[in-house]
Amino acid sequence: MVEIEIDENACVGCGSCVDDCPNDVYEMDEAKNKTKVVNADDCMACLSCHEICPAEAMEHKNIHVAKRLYIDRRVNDILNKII
Amino acid sequence: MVNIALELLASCTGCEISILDLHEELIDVLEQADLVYAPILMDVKEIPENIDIAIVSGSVRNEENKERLEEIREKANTVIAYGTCACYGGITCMADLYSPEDVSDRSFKDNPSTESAAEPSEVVPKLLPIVHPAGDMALIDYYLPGCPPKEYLVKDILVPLINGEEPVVPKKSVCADCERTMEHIEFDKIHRRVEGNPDPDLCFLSQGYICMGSATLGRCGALCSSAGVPCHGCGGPSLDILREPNHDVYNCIVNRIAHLSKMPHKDVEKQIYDIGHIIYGFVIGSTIMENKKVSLIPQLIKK
Repeated sequence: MVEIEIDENACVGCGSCVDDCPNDVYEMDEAKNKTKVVNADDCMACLSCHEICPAEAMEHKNIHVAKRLYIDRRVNDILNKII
Repeated sequence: MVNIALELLASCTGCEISILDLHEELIDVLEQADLVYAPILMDVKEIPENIDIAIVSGSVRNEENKERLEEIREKANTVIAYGTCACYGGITCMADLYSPEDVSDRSFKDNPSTESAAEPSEVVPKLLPIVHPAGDMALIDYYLPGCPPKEYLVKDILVPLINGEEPVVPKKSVCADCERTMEHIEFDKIHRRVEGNPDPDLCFLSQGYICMGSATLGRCGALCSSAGVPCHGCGGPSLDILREPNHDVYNCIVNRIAHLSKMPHKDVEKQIYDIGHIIYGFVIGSTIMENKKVSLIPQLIKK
């Protein structure tokens, strides 16, 4: 099952992921003005929230690599070397 | 003792200065490391043998840069591409918007502030057809983007590397550190950065200014946006953008402005100005960014 972690220090509370998620995985936590995961079971790992999040506040764990778009081997190699 | 070399290729030396900005902490670094070669700081002319860590900044603009990069790669165990120029081309690769002839003509022939002269043919190394980030021209062990990388990062990265450990540093975008509030506000005009008087508490994008923060690798503490200047993207692309083949700085900014303002994408694209400098300013030389199918870099550079 997909696990979604929100980095609350990074989240800017813009609500873009709530608008963007096709499966309503997120909801705004009005008290904290941060996003929260309410429906992780429905996540299909499209990662459109990653694309829309300005602060890279979410982290998806346990997603099958085949679900992701084709990723260049050289790009992957460089990504692992960025410090 | 670990032997460290600092090599600068086509660059502004800001990266070397950022290492000096460690101030007193430089002494802690030097207790464990010897600085054996650094043309900007020391009088050693030739690259010595047996370098443990070579910190290379800048891009490869001419044949001399290329030779020096190849030589230091051969003599060093670990090579760090240091700064955005070395990783993605940075400011120096904006020269790719012009041909090498345009660039040298501007320097020697048609510059209004100098007397026109023939282009020097001796001693001066020949320009390459395009500028390359050091990272595209040699095998690199670590990439450390930033313009320049902030001094606390240098400490958090250099000290573990000297001790043979993997550095652990944040890799979020600039927005993660920015104090401004991002709000969904409808507007239909994108402003130039010099126009108007932006609200100091509200996100630049929500006010119609092009801010690269959400597309940029942060850990600068959002210095520019807190000083009232939109992010120019000097940290290079955020890792999400770098990773996804159909994700690019340009479409990221267009999508985000369209999303926040409810403007149609076409309208946003029509109003975005000077794409080569504003959007791709710091990544235009990078082959990774150029090879993305959605990238506009191939249309912008003159080969």
